[in-house]
Amino acid sequence: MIFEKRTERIFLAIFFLIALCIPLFLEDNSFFVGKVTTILILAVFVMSLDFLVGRVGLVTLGHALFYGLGGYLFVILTPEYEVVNFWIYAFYVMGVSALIALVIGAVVLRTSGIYFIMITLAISQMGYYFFFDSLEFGGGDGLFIFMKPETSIFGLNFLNLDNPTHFYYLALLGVLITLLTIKIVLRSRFGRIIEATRLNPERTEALGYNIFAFRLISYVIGSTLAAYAGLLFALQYGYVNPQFMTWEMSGTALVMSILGGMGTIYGAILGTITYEGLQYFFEHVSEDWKLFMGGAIILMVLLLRKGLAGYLEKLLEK
Amino acid sequence: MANNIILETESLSKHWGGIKALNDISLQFHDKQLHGVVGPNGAGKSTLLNMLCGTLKPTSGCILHKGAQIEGMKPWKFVRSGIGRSFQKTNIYAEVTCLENCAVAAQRRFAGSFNLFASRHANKLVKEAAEKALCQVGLADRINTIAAEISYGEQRQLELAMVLATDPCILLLDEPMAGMGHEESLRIIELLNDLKKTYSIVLVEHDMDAIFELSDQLTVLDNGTHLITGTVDEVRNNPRVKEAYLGKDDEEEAA
Amino acid sequence: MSTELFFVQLINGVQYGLLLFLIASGLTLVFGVMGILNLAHGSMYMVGAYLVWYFVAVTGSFTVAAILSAVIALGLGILIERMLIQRLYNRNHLDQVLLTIGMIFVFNSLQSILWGNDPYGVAVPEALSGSVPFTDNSSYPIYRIFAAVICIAIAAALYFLVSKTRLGMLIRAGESNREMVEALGVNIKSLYTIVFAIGVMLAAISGIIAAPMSSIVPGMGESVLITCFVVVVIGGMGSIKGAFVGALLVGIISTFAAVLIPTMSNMIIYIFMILVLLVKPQGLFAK
Repeated sequence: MIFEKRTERIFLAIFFLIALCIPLFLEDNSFFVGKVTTILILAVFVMSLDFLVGRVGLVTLGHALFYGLGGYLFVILTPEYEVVNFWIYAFYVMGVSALIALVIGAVVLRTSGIYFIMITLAISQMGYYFFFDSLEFGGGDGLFIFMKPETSIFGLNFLNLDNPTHFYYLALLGVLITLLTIKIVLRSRFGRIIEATRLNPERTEALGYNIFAFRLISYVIGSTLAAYAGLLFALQYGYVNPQFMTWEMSGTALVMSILGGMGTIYGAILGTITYEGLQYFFEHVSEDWKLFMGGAIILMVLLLRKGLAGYLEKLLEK
Repeated sequence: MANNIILETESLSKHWGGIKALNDISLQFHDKQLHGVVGPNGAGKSTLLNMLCGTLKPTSGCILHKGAQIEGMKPWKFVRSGIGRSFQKTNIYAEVTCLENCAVAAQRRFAGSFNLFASRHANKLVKEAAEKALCQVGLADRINTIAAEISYGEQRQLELAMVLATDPCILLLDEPMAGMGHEESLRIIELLNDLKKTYSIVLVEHDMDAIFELSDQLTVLDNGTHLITGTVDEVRNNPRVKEAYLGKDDEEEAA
Repeated sequence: MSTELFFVQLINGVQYGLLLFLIASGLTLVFGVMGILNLAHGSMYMVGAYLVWYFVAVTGSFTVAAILSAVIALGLGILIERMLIQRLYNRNHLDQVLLTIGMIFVFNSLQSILWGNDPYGVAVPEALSGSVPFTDNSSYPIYRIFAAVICIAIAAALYFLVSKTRLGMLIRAGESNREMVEALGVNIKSLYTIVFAIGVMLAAISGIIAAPMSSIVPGMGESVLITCFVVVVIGGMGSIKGAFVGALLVGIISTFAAVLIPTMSNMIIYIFMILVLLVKPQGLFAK
């Protein structure tokens, strides 16, 4: 069973139930529908990061590079004023992202620990500057997506992405598929070795496994999922710019993941919702919400070691 | 004893800058034999084991596995070719069950590990091999216990089980009885006596009783050099060996 | 490029490199001895710069402002170490990353609250303004020479501290074997506080020195931090000698890149870092 913990099953059941119904309550308010859509897209991004950091053991500070690439690749690969098919182009974007991740991964995975943290940060900075300084790719302003793609499958109309509620359900579908994909991979034979590599890399290598290969494949998977999230975000708002790839973006995602409970995957959803909720709350209390957020993060690292999921599990698991 | 030579070193040396950890070691490890390796601290025993399993690359000399040179290969390839190694410091997956520990070890033999979809529990052969290894070392009643919760001695047994689960042809054992009490040590000695009927074993140990009882061949290293290799009696009576240990107390059983 | 321009850029590069060294050495010292990766290190640089700007505005004297800022930064460093960093000693890199990210958030907000988000500048102090004639056509700013000299002086002091004093011996011992140092009866907690405080001071003093040469803007801490990472990765984490070499390389390369290939100048040091890592994954002077 891929959802083994009671807490996990309860949370996910409640989450999907509410998520399916939310648009009904927010019928007229496209602002709020947009806001929850963004939260869902971020959750996909954070889940992919949680997978890499929490389950594979690769602490990367450069994950946002792929988030940005998702958006940029879509604009680059798509003919400008054409309405393309979402599924086909999502496939292209993810394919190219996977290749880029393969190349980058082959380089960065030769390092580990602190070096890995720093080199991933540097590479995403490099990406940031590449796009920021480039004229062809819009520089600091970025690029715009004028026409949202259509989502027909084998000629049958599916969702209309210009409709915020439809887009919301596409994002929710993304959350579901990402969750299932990650869970299935982790439960697989591949996942067994990944877990072993995270728990004790020396031991795993001593058992005859080429941990470089396992990490590289995981890195590609995680990065490709991040690119998918970035693609969705770019499509939602109709633009992509270098701010997608900053270290702040990577760092914030890391915070969301830890807040929710690193390694639990469902915690990533919980963490994203909580962080965005906290930010919304703090923003309305004071202009200096970052101060409270920073304080909250510090307290959380010191007190809530396993994040919210850890706390819930203590309550609910026997 | 004309058993096949499973592993062999020829003029193996390891230098760290000016320090010679191992100098010109030529040894042969035969099938279905237990070959003990002893020596005072710093003699180079761990260095030897590290090279035999590929963790360290030799400075010079070569290592032959069933006749083929292997010293340049990556460590994980050593394991794949049938060289199993247990660690001196317990090196297990503490957070998961004993069964899972051995399952990781066994999986490589039966099923593709790059399969992203098939559930890890689906393959019966892996589970059976893991259980078999655990039973072999006497941990049958610990199969579903979390590894961190078993006793130290049992963890050493688990370490051994993991190696067995990889179905090696030669076992490199680095002080498997380190830190064990008397009874636990006897159990391991009995197990090793049994295992050497099937496998080739290289045993590094400080527990002299065990070494003398188990070794078909015994090698003494001192300060990186090869003093002597012979039967237990030959070695015990050798004057150079006595000299090497002179002034040191009888090797006490590891605390 | 003319020889003149070449030399000017070379000196600029070296001077920038020396400044980077100061910051990077603090980062690498803290990591080497305490095992802590302090992402808020750049914030201390920023704090130094903002404090000196503030005190120059209040007191009118750069010297007074510099001293005040340094003292406050020292106090801040000790406070942070005692209250927060101490709790990170046995925890993993991830927790350190997180806690120090939280600190960045707090520092950036405080900066915004206390001083606002407009860019500021600090005037070069009177005594050090003006330029030294260099050739017939060009001259070099005195302040920059002063800055370089200060950096060298501090680097020399650091070298002296680490290699010739008892504290330095403890630092070097602590780098290789924490337990041994503890077993020697040394109060590891005090050692760590001192080391962290030194690290903070190095960053803050760099900020103070850099203030008259650059814009004081929000985010300056993070951009310097990331350059520091590049320096330290190239030089080898934990190695002060490596930080020195790395800093000079980064300083010179990025200065020349800004002149020769302006469109790619931001990226060039990252490309260089990747190249170094491909050849020496632990950096040039890895421990």
